[in-house]
Amino acid sequence: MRLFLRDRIAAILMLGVPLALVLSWVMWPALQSIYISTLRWSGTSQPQFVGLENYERIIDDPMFQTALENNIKWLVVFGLLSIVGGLLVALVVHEQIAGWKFYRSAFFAPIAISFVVTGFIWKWMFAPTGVINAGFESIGATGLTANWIGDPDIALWSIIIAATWRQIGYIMILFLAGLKAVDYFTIEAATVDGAGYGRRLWYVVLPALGPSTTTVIAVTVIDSLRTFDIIWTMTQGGPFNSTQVLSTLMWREAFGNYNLGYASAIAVIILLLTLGFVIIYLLRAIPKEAR
Amino acid sequence: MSRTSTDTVSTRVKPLAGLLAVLASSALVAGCATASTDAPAPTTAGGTDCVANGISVQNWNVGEAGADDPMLAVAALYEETTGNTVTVNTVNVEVFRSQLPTYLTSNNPPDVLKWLAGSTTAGFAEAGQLLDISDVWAESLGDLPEGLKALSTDTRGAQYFVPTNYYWWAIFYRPSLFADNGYSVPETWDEFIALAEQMESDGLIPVGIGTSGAEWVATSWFDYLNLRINGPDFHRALLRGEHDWNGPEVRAVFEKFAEIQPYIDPNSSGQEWQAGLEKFFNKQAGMTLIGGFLPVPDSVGDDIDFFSFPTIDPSIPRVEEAPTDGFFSPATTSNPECAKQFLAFLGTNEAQALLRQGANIATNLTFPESEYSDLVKKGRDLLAAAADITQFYDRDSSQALGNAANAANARFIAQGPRVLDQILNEWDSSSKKIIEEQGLD
Amino acid sequence: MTGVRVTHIPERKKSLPLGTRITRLVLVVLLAFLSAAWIVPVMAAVLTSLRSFDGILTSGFMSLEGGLSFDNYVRAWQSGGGTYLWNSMVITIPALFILLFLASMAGFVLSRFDIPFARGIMLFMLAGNLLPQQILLIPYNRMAENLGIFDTHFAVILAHIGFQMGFFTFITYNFIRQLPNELFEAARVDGCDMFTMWWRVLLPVLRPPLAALGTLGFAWIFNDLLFALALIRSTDQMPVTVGLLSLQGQFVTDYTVLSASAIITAIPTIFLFIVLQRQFVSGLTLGSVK
Repeated sequence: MRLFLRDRIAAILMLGVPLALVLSWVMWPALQSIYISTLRWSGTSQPQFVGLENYERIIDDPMFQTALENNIKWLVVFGLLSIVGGLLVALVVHEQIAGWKFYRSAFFAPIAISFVVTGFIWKWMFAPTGVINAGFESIGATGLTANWIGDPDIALWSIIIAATWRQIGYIMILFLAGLKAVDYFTIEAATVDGAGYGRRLWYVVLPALGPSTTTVIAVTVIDSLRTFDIIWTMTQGGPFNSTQVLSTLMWREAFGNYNLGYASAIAVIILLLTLGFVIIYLLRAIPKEAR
Repeated sequence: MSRTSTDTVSTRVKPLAGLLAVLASSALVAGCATASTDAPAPTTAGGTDCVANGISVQNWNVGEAGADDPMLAVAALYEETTGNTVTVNTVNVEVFRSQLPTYLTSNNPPDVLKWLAGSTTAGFAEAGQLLDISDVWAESLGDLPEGLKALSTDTRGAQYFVPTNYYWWAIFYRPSLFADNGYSVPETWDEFIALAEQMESDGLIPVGIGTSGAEWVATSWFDYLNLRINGPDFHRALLRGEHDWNGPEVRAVFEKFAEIQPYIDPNSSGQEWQAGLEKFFNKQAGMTLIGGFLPVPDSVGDDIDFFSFPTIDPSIPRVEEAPTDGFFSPATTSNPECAKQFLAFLGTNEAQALLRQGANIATNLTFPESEYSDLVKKGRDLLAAAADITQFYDRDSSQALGNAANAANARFIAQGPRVLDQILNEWDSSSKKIIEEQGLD
Repeated sequence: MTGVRVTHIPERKKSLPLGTRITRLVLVVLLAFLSAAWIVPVMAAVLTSLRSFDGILTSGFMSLEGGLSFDNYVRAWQSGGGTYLWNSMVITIPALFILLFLASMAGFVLSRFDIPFARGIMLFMLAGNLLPQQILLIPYNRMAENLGIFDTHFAVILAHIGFQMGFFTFITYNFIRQLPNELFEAARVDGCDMFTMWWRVLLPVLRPPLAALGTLGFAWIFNDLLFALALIRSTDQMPVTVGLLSLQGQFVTDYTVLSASAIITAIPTIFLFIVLQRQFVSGLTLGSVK
C-alpha cells in the first residue's frame, strides 16, 4: 500500500506508543533489576557496587537451594497434574457424554477466581478444624486427617492441590480447542480399520495436539517459576521455610530484610531459569514464515 | 495461517526508530532506580501553621478484629487540644513493614511513623534517615525514664525516637481454671514442668501457642530460656554473632526446651497465634507465653493473670523482655516543626492513655496509677524489678537474624528434639552468614 | 472411503468413539462426582460466609447451626470491602481500555505494513509479558517515587499496561493478519489514511478478539497481587487482592467474615465469567493454539 506522509506519523505513533510503554515499563525496569543485583543496597542507604557477590552468596545459601527444590517440585508435580489432568478431562468432555456442559463449567469455573481467593479458600479448608478434616472425620476416616498446611512435609503438596484445582480447567480449555482441530477423517478411517481408542489416541490425537502441548508446557513452566500469590496467601513460605519458593524468598529479602541487591539477584535467577522456556514459547508463537 | 499476498509498503519507516528512541528515553529519565531523592527545601516558616500544613501519620495495626484504632482517638484529641491538623493512615503491620524503607525515601513521606524500638530503627537513625528530635526530648519528654531515653539515642548522642508504650512478656493463665483444678503458680522450672504434666493428665493442652504466619512467637521461648540459663550478657553476645548457635550453651537451652516441648500444643504450626490464644481463652489450653498485646475478650474480663517465666538457675539475674513501641519522623519530612509538636504530644499522659490499649504500659513516669488495671500494674512492677530488660530477639538483632531464629524455634516446638541437630546446624550457618553480611555494611 | 466427501460433519461425529456403553457410564459417574467435588470449595466458602461466627464455634463448618444471613457481607463491605472493590475497578477498567486501544493499533501496524523487524518487535513485546513480575517490583517502586505517582492507582495502571501490552498486541496481530486484504485495499482505494483505516475499518471487525482480550484481561488485571502490593501504600487505595490480605490480618480467625470478603472480591470476575464465558474461552485459546 502506498504510504501517505501522515501515515508514517500515524504508524510511528500507533506502534511507537505501545512499544515505548513496553520499553519503559517492562524492559527498562528489568534492566535496572539486573543492575541492582550487582549492588548491596537497603533502599535507604547508599548503594554499593559489589559485582557478582550476591550471586555467589545465593549459590551458597541453603535457603535458596530449598526454594529452588520447591520450585522444581512445583514444576513437576503441579505441571504434570494440571497438564495430564487437563488433557484427560478435555478428552472426556470432548466426547460430549451426558452432562458434559456441566462438567466443563464446573472445571472451568475456578479460573474466574484469583489465586489470592483460591489460596484463601483452600487455606480455610485445610485448617485443622476445616472442611477437609471435618469431612474425613464424618465418614470415619480419621486416619486421613492431617495438618495440611502446618506440617512442613506436606504443606507444599497441599498448596499444589489448591493450585491444580484452579489450573486444570484452564488446561482443559486449551486442549479442547486443540481437539477441535484434530483430523477426523483419519480418526474415522482408523476406526474403520479396527483401531481401538488407545491407538487412535496415541497415533492420531496426541500428535495433532503437539503444538498446543508445547505451548501449554512452556506457559506452565514459566508460570510455575514465578508463582507467588497462592503460596504467599496460604503459608507465606512457612512452616519453617518449607514452602519457600524463589519468588517468596525474593519478596522476603526485598521487603522484609531490605536486601534489595540480593533480592534482585534472585529475581534475575528466576528470569534466567524461565528464559529458555520463554524463547521456546516465542518461537512457537510466531513462526518464521509468518510473513 | 499464512498470508496469501504480501502487503508491502515501498518506503521504509525510518523515522520510526528515531521517534521510538525519543519516546523511550523520555521514559528512562523518570526511571533511574538508584537515584536518591533530594530532601525537599525546608518550608519557609514564620512559625509554621500546623493547621493549614497538617501532618500525616503512618500507622499500623496487628489487626484486632473490629477494634477502632487508638491512633484515631489520639489524632482527634490532638486536633481538639491544639487545633492542628492530623491525618492518620493505617495499614496492616506486614504491609507497613514491607513498605517502611519506601516511606523513608519517599519524596512525600509521612511526617510521623509509628514503629518499634530496636535494631532496624536504630539502623535508620545511624544512616541519618530519621529526624533529630533532641529538642523535643529536652523540652517535653523529661518525664520519660532514662533507660528509654538511652534506647532512643543514636551513637552520636542525638535522640530520634519517642517511646510511647511498652509491654511485658510472661506466662499467662486463667485463675479460675487453676482454682478449679487445684493448680498452683510455679516458681521454679521443675514446678513448671510438674504443673504441665498435671494439666496434661487432666485433659488440657498444657501450653497453648500458634505459630502459623507468626513464627516469632516461638522465639519468645528461646529468648526466655536463654536469658534464664545463660544470662543477658550471653544472650546479647549471641545476637551479635559472638557465639555459636550450635554451641554448648545453646544446646543447654534446648535441653531444657525439650522438657516442655512435649506439653506444647502439637498443632502449633497449623494455627495462627490468635487461634492459639482462642484455645487459651476457651480453657482448652492451660497456659501460654505471650506479651501484653494479647487481646483479652470481654467474656474473660478479670479472669486472667500471669507469672514470670520460671527460674532455672537462681544465680542468673532475672531479665524480662519488654518490647517498646513508639514514633519517629523521617528526616525528609516537609513539615518537621509540626511533626515535632505532635511527637511531643505523644509523650503526654493523655496521648499515652489512648495509645496504651489494654495491657500496655505508658512510658511517661507520671502516668496516673489509677488508669492501670491490677494486671498491668503487676506487669509494670515485674519489669521494674527486673535486673535487666531486653526487647525481643529480632528487635535486638535484625529482621534477617530474627527470621532464622523464628524458623528454628517454631520448628523445634512442632517437631521436637529428634531434629535438634538439624535445626541448630542450620540456624548456626544461616545466622553466621547474616552476621557476615551485616558486618560488611 | 475414497471418493466420499463429507462437507459438513455434525458436532456429534467429531468424537473419538469410546465404544462400550459401560465405559461411557463409568465416565459419566466419575465425571459427575469429580465436577461436584470441584465446586465444593466455592460452595463451602459461600455457605460459611452466610453463617454466624457463633454457629461455627458451636457446631463446626459442616452444619447450618446459627442461621443464615448476609451480616458478614455487610461487615466485610464496611470494613473496606466496598472501597477495595471500587479501587480494583478504577485500576482495571481504564487499564483495559487503554490496552485494547493501543494493542489494536500496534497489531494493525505490525501486521499490515512493512515494518522492519516486525517479527522481532512482536517477539520483543510478547517477551515482556513472559518475564517474572518479581524483576519489575523494586524498580517500579523507585520509578513511581521519582515520578511522584507512588501510592496512586495511576502507577498500577501504567504497570499493567506495560506488562500486558505484548500479549494483547500479539493476539490482535494474529487476528488482523488473517483478515482479507480486500478489506484494506478497498479502504485504501477510498483514500483512507492509516488512522482512519484503523478507526473505521478495522475496529468494527476486531470485536471478537477485543471481547476475548477484554474479559481475559479484566480477570488478569483485577486479580493481580504483586504490582499493587509493591506500589500502593494507603489502605484506602488498595485493590481487592491486597485488601483481602489486609482483612485476613484483621479478622484472622473469623472465617465467616473472611469468606464473605473473599466472595465479594471475586464477584466481578465471576459475574463477567458467567455472562461472557465464550469470550473468555476464545481469549484463552487465541494465543495458544494454532
